[in-house]
Amino acid sequence: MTSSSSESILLLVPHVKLKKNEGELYLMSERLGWMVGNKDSFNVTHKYCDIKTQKISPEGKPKVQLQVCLHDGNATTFQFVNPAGQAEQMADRDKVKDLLQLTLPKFKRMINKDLEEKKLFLSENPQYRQLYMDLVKSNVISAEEFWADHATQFIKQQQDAKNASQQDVGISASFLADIKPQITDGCNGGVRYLLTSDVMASIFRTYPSVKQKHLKCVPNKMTEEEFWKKFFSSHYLHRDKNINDTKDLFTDCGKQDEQILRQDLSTAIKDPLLDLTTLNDVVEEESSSTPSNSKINNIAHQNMIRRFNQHSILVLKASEQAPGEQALESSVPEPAPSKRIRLQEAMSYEDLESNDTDPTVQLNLSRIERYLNGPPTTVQSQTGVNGNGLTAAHFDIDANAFKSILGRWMRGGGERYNPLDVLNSATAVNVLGELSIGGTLMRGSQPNSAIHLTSELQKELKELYVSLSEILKHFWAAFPPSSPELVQKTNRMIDALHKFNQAKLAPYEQKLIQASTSSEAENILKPLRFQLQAAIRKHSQLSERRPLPRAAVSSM
Amino acid sequence: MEDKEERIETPLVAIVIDATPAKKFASQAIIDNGSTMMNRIFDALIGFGNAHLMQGSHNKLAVIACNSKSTKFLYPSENGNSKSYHNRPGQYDMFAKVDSDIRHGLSELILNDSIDHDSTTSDSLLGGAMARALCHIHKVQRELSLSHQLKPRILVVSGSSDSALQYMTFMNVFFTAQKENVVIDCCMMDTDSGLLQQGCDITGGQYLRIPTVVGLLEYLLWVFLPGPSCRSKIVLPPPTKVDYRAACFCHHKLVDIGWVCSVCLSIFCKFSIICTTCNTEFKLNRTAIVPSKPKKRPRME
Repeated sequence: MTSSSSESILLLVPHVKLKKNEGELYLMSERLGWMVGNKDSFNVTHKYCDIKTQKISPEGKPKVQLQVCLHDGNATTFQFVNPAGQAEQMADRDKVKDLLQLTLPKFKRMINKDLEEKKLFLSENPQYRQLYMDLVKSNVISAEEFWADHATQFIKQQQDAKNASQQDVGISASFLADIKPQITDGCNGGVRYLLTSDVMASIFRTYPSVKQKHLKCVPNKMTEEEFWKKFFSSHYLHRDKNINDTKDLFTDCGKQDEQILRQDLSTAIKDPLLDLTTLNDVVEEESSSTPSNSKINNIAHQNMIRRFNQHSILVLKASEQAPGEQALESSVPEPAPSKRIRLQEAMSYEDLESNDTDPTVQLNLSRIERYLNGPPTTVQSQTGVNGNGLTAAHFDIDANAFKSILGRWMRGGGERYNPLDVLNSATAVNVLGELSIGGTLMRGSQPNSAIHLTSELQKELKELYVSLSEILKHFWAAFPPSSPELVQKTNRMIDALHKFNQAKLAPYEQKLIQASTSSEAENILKPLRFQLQAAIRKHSQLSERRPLPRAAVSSM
Repeated sequence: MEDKEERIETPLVAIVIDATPAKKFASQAIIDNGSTMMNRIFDALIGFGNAHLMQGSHNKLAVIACNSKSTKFLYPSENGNSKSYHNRPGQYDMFAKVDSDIRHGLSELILNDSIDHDSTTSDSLLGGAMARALCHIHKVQRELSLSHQLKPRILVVSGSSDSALQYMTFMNVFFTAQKENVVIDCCMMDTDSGLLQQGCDITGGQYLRIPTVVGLLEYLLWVFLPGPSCRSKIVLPPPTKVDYRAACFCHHKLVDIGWVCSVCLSIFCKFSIICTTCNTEFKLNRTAIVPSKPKKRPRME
């Protein structure tokens, strides 16, 4: 790159060393460059917009240097080696410095917000900083790759920031106090304030009534300067403002503010059950000169509190309006229902309310007696339930005799009681015989009889079960026998089952009969036999059926 | 575990006496000692009741009698003031009271009824008596302190067979008893009762039809005196197979598999388009109704 003629050279400084090579420093309109004396092109160029800052070496040092720091962290150090002497060197350097000071702000690039964020992120998360150092500084991966792939938290952070609604920045609370008075240039007794447009905008936002006044007065009635002078000197701004002072321009501002406040109070509170007056401080004092609940007598305090409240209301309004104008519109038709909602909330408890039951359908029956009496049981029809076929007439007993028998029985207790009348020994023994094991009433299986097996018998029983299950598993797995191999398999299994029966089950049964005291031996083996029989049955069914299709095929 | 206190077990037996066949039994004289079967039976019941009370000091007893007209609480007596009684020397007072209450109550019940001859041919109010027994059990349960645990059971002593009209009542009683953990035992004299068999099966009780009515006390003491908790440890008459089949509404014959209306749950043995009880129309595929024809056998040439 040749020294372009299109660029105007603002300053040329010879005798500037860069890394032990002497050359000349050129300051152009958009960049600075350095080249070795006899060359044509710049060895080093830096655009002004890349330069972040410049640094100069301290006064007392022997070397006169100027360092230019770039945004991406690199720094280039120029040493001024004017042979004329240190003063000349310093003069050279100062010239460069001044020029840079003037030009740099023009090119001062808005530091990329991104970069700032990234720097902040790195400083906050040491592990990422380490990662960055390792990977990017040593050129393992490029910076973009790093930020896109590896800094996952950073990406998430950015996405969250994007998703979150943009919030407007509010006004600093101390903006009025920050208007520092300028140094007085000779005005006696007066103080000079510098009002920037920022400050004015802030004032308008904080005091909307002042904004209206400003619109009205300026530029018709007075100049800006006068307006602001009046503003700052008015009592409106000061703490103990006196509303009754009609001379002041801003008194109706005060009145307006109060009006707005009252309106806000009435409309803002949507909860009818909220009673703010109960939020008084209750101070327990033994000797209270002022009653604890009395109103604050000090007007100044009251005013101050009022102003605080107004400010807070304005702040709230501003934050509510931030998401857009929709909030403003939708709030208007809401007030009535919201009150109702609030009242509703206070009245009902969710969990005390009944669950909605499913709607039931009524059952219409044409013959209701069927529903009431149920299916008729097959009762042998008798003429009389007590009769066993006999009717009352067959009782050879008449009413009087019956009554006397009954009467006699009634008086039969107490002294006249003979236990043998109720049960004599012969009857008792007969009944015992019936109820004993083997008696007439005791036929049939006993559900509760306990079967005691020794542990060896138990073990053998378990083994029988296991082996039988294994054979049966193979047998049933071969079903349906579609291929000849499977048919063979079923046959084999059936043989195995038969053998099992002979070899294992029968001797076990013998053992059981010998060992057990109850006649439950065959019941113990019943399930095993059942499984065996089922398999054998199925097999025989199959072998019966099989010849048939073969015959059908052959006949065709 | 140290704090666990044993609750006192309080077995309660409610004897439900069906007094409708009283006349029948009164007519059966016992030759030996000139009393009638009726006396035997009633004395046996009193003896059983007292035997139960003798088993433990906390045991409770309730006796309810019924005939075709009414049911009556015999013990504890209804109006509170029972008639005066004389106990034999050395007899426990409570036994004498039970004895006296039952005798007077039962006689009163039967005498009030005996005027009308038709009563002996009509149904007994056994369902109602059982329901009253359940109510009494429930009442005692609530009045009992927490240190006691009630173990209730009902013993039904009856000589009459089922009546078709009482089906629903009986079923309600049985299922209520099942829910309340009340065991229903049944001692039948002379006849069998399918409904009571079902009831005993449902509640886990013992059903017994005794061949010799004279020895009723022996049967009662042997089979019905031990409570349900002991019965698993002793050998008792095995349960009979209960016939749970319901009868169809159209022909009154017992069916194993039948058609049930999905609206009113009435049972039919044959399919019909309209349910006769609730008049709902059934929409079914034709294939479901048409009986499957026997498959044609493959022709063999």
